[in-house]
Amino acid sequence: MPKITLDKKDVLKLVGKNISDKQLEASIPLLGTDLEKVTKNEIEVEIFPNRPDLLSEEGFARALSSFLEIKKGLKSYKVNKSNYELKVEPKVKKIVPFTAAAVIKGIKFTEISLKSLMNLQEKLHTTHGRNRKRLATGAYDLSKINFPIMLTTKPRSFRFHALEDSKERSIDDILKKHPKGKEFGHLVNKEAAIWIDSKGLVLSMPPVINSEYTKITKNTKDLFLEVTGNSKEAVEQALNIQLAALSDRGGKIYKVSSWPDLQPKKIKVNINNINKLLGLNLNKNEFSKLCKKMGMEYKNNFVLYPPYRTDILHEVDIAEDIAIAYGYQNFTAEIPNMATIGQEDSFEKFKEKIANLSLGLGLQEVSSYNLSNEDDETKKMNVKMNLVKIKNSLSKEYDVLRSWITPSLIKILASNRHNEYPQNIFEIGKVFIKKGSEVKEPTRMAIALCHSSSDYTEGKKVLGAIFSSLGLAENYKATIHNSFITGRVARVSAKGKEIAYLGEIHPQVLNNFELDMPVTIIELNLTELHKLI
Amino acid sequence: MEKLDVVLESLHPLERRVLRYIKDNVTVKDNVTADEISFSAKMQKVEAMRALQWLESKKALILNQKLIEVVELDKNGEFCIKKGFPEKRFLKALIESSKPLEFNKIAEHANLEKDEISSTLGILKKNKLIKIENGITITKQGEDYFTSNNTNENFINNLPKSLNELTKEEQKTLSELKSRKEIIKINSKKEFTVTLTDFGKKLANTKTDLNLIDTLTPQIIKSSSWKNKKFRRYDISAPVGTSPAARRHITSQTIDYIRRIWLDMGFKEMTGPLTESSFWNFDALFTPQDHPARELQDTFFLDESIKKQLPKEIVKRVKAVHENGWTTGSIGWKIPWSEEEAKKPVLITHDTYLSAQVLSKISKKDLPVKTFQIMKVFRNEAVDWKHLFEFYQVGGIVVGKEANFRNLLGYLKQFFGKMGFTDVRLRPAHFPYTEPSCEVEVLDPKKKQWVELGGSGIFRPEVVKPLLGIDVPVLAWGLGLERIVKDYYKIQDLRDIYKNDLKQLRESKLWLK
Repeated sequence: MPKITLDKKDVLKLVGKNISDKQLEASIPLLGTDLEKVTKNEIEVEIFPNRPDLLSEEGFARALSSFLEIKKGLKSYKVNKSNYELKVEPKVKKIVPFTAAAVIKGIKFTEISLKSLMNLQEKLHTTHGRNRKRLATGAYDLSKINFPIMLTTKPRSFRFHALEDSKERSIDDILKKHPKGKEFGHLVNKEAAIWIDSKGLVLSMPPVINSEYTKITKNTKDLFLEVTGNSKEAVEQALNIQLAALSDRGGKIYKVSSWPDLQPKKIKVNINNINKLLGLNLNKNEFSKLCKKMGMEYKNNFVLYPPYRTDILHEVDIAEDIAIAYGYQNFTAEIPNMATIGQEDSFEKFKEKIANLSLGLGLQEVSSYNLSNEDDETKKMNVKMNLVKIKNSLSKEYDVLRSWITPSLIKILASNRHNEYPQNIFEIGKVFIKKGSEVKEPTRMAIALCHSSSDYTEGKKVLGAIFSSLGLAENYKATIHNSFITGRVARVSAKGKEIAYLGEIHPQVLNNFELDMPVTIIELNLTELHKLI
Repeated sequence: MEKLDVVLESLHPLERRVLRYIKDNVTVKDNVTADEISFSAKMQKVEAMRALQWLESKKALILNQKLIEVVELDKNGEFCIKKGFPEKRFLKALIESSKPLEFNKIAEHANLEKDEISSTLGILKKNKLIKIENGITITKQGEDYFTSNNTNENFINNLPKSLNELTKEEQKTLSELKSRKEIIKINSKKEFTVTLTDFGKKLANTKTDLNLIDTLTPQIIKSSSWKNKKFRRYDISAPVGTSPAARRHITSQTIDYIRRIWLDMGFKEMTGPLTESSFWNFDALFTPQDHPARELQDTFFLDESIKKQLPKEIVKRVKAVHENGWTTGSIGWKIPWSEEEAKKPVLITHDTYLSAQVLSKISKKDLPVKTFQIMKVFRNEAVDWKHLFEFYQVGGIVVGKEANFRNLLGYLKQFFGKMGFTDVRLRPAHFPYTEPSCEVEVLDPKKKQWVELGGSGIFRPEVVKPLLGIDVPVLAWGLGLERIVKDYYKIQDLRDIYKNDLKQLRESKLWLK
């Protein structure tokens, strides 16, 4: 979730009322944003990804002001007519399916408001724009542009002066050398999309970089704003979010071709449904009041909401806004009259009984991670296994799923060398076995007996106690397993089903884990064992 | 003070021997040292010390502890005792040879270390013990020096000695030897002296020949030889350490308690695999395919040779619900939905996927339904003191036509009440699969701080209808477990929960709620 730092003074000015830090701290979390902290000059919040309209001082202040009932209700935006025209060449459609644009005039930019716009665009790129994969946006100094403007494509050899670059270069060069080119070059086709004006001046190469020629300065008063991307809704929403913010700064909005559409959107709602879902009993009047708190309006079974809201897909989204306006803290808890019978999972119950039996045998329970590494699972254990691998683990120490529990126990014993012996331990957990294209996840129990006189006999006594407690007779068959000492390892079965290993761990394996105490191991398949009972 | 006869009956054989020794010597000296006692009473030093401490706790004597500095032999010093000082070895080599010797030859004969050579030469020249002229020869003084038993040797032969007992002469020798490499060292040692109290004197002067039974044996029981005898009384509060009591791992104890709570509240326990398709982990939960959570840095993706089966009929509905809202009344995400993307196998990132599977397995006639699950979930995160890549989640759902937002708060309050948290609050949050969505917070009763313990909400119709066939409210939650474990067991670093330090586990408090 994106974290943003807002200028407190600016926010309060936009809210239209001075609010104490205490009040801010109390109300911001109730509005539906995660408050990090309020400091002398700043407000740090985390914005949920469904509300990109809150990613700037303007949008945040607008929502807060409405929520606190200072400037509430649905805001309307006037779009002035103009002759500004924009052409999109058909060949661009394949690369950039959707565009939207507008002109804004008469903004007195300050350092703060200029920074706010730049930050908003950056956050829109990373969140709503999915790192520019879904959309990209640019703002330009209108005074430097001649209409009509065209979105076209240019070959990689085409040259222009990229923003904050030292000189004019070819597109290829920009993608290789410019920091933004390197970061977003993978999104550029063989033919790059280029915004160009009627005199051949390059505005930008979406979604990578603007040009130096049309950049905004503190003296800029009028802006040309455009958004390109692969989702019509997302592109228009990104434009509307910015226009609403600039309009809050006093800008006048002008049409470019058919954009923008700043009419309120509407969704049909049934107040009864919403009351039922929330457990409330709101009448139309109360409902309408709560809508206003969220910057919306209720009219004839419809809720009208601002054109920059991206999160209204269904009536339930209105229900959440109503719940927020009502105040989550104001709901009273209630257990419904809805009888059901509790039911324990039979295998979970079995696991608990086995664990308690193990305690009776003096075994201490331990708990390890399911994630492990190939070295511990196989190489150090002197065996080969087909492991389930993680494609993208951040840590090399944890990049496979464990295929048995014994290595986990030996690792634990190795890390407990300084502690008192005997160290007799057990763990119950899943293991992950790759069979063809399938992963089996049986639950197993492993027991490790570790002290100076630990041996096969002791292990056999423990395993015998477990089987006889379950009313089962077990069978021991000599086997070869490279983790164990030959002649001191058995494959154990019950009712003809091979179900456990028992043996003394080979000293070479102990050496590999830097453990110098004998270890006897039992590894028992509980999933199979449970089926036998 | 204890009665004399009771204390007499509680004396351990070692205590009796120590007391006897002190009694015999107490007229000679007021103080005896622990070393003297162990030496003269022929017992090991630890035994003597133990007996003295027991006697002290019976108020029979006072143990005075004093730090004294003791001069002891060091590594080279021990060698000097066996083979002689380097200068003597040097002279010996000269005496044994009839003619003047080459320097290197002597060093070899005298078995001198390289770093000893120059200091040895210095000493020999300073005391005029040798003459260097066409090789090295021994002087008259040298011969005298060789045969006499000199002060250095006397000194080291009589070590260890306490520093404050040295004569002026010995102090001079000490400072000379100190400047030489590893011949002597000065260590601080604890010395105990013992003073009998009045009670102790009385005790020592009373006949202690009581013939007490020390250990009760089968033989004594069989032969009834205990009759007319007394048992030695134990010091019943003597510190003895504790037996290692095996117990469940701290997370298991917590989980068992939590299972009971949900079972008591009428919930059915569910279990499921830890590896699943993206379909169940994300798509069935209406998480759009371009959602940031599905990117590589958050989710562990498995090797793609692993294929998970997708439910055909449900896949069709889920595709429709993502692309256009299907029949749910939603407009959907309006982006193309790919089955390939949905097939990618993952380690589950939340337990909620299992709640989705539950919905796909029940039907209208089963309602109301309440289920819960406690399972490990995985996040591809860097690990630190407050983040694990693998942790438990406690999740559940309530499916019922009449279920509402206030009920969600009701169930969570009940649960956390039983966990010992009286105050629970919900805060607005966002998850792609619930609306309304809430963060769940409880008030830490000691610190008076709100602590975030999980997420909750009501499943969106876009989740419920494709799975269940109808749209009914489904209250859902997924709560963290480790935070609760950490607070109860007073663990600072989350990683320590899975450190499996056996000392810590064996000494940990039981889950007593």
